[in-house]
Amino acid sequence: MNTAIAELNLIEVANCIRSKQISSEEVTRVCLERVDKLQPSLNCFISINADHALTAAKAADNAIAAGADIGLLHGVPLAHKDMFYREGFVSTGGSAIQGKFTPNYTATVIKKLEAAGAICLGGLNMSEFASGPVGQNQHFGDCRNPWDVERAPGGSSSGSGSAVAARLVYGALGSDTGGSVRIPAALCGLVGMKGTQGRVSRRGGMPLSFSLDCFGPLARTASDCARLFYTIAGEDCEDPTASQEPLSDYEQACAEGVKGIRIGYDSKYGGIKPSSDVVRAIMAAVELYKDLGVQVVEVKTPNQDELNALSNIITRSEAATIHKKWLKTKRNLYSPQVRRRIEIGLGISATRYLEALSLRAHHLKVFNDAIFSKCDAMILPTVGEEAPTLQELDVGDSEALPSMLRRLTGYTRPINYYGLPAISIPAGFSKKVLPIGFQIVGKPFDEALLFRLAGAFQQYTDYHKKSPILSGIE
Amino acid sequence: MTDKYQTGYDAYFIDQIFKRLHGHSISKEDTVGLSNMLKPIDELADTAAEGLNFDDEPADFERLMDFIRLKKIG
Repeated sequence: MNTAIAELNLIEVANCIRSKQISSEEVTRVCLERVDKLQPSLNCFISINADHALTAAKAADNAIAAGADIGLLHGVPLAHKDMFYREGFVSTGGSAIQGKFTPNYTATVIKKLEAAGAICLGGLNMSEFASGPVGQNQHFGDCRNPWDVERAPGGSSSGSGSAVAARLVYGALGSDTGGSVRIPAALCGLVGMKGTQGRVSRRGGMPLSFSLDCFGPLARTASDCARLFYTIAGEDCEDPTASQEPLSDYEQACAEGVKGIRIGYDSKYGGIKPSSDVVRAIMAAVELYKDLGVQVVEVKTPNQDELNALSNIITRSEAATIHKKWLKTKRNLYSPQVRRRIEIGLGISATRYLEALSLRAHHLKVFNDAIFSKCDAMILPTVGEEAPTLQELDVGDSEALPSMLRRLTGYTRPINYYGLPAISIPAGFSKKVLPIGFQIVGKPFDEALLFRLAGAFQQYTDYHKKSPILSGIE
Repeated sequence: MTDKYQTGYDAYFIDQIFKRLHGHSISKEDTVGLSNMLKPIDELADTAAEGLNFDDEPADFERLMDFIRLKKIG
């Protein structure tokens, strides 16, 4: 029974709780038992708030018994990257420096989830200060991929990817500055959504880059992800950078047809060659979309390397500004790799930084002319290969580092630079039975179209229904 | 700063930036590491900067986002 409950997806479990087939307390206990069992192997969590979660679950059950109005996530256990502030709870940002930081207010995204009735089990592992695409963490230990515990789940939202894939929670929030929601989603076999820049409030989330940070959900299905995204997106009077653009019914969009939609496909992949497994999966996705009536248009994406450099200039400059004081006074409390990755921004000139920001419109126009003049959305790999082993990632600052980062973030980072929405969708498995994902990039604020395409793909595939085999560690 | 003219990032330049602009010293290993990381990024950004027009500014990005959002494709 426990496994059956854990295998339900978010919408199914929300429906079961709402209809009193299962209590929120029962579901929460199942999740906590799994966390207890799998945490030693996966290291998904930085903190586990079991008592608090169970109290909240009992309150959720009481509300149902009393016939109260309940939200779309009522009684559903979630957990989030340990960088979203919850009043009274430590929020480490995956760092030693913030190891005891206890915020006195709650992030808007968490407030919105709480208002919808969600239960939070704790803070999830992540790359230190959300800096790094693989999810390694020197302070709290590396999080591991449930599809193969010798491999990385991807980052920086590593715990979010690992915990949802391992069926420890039904969904999780992550942050995406260069791919940190989409990369773990792809490497763990999940759906991950990065909305348009400004679509989701950032108040109360640890910042890395003012210009590029986006918060977004990871879940098992497109519909689950849509429900979470709908809950957290939209205006926020406490965050002037949050857009007031109206939301759509994303969950309904997942069930709509896709006939007549035009998708762009670049057989050169913007100059970064993916593995044969990824190419095969993307070609299969393209064929499926064609069968569903989607028009696939051959397009040519701009050179990704230049865009990655510009994106890096913005991220590093802004991160260094945020961290400048600590880089001087607490430099030994950073892991060396992360410190260097942030510190590099102190060497970038103001004119170089402003050039990178000013060029954003120019490059977005180039992308728009190349892609959106011909189609509604574009398909790209999320990551060009399967999840790397932790050993493969142990390259320090060697010459292998730039090429590793290029392979992991080469397709995602430019999308943050453009500010466009993108969804990562499970696309199948590599020869080693590791998940592969592809992303669909859309026009500004057209997240509904992305959910339509994701939902349609999942109606005809079952990759999202596969669970990692946890025998031996379960 | 030095007798010879420097172009681009090298360890000495990084060392001086940190000392003079940011008021702290970093290890030689860090100056070498940071200059190696910055060089390729800076070179690519240099190429990209050729596309920058005289009157381009960061706020153009917001305007273009809005334009693309509203424009129907052909």
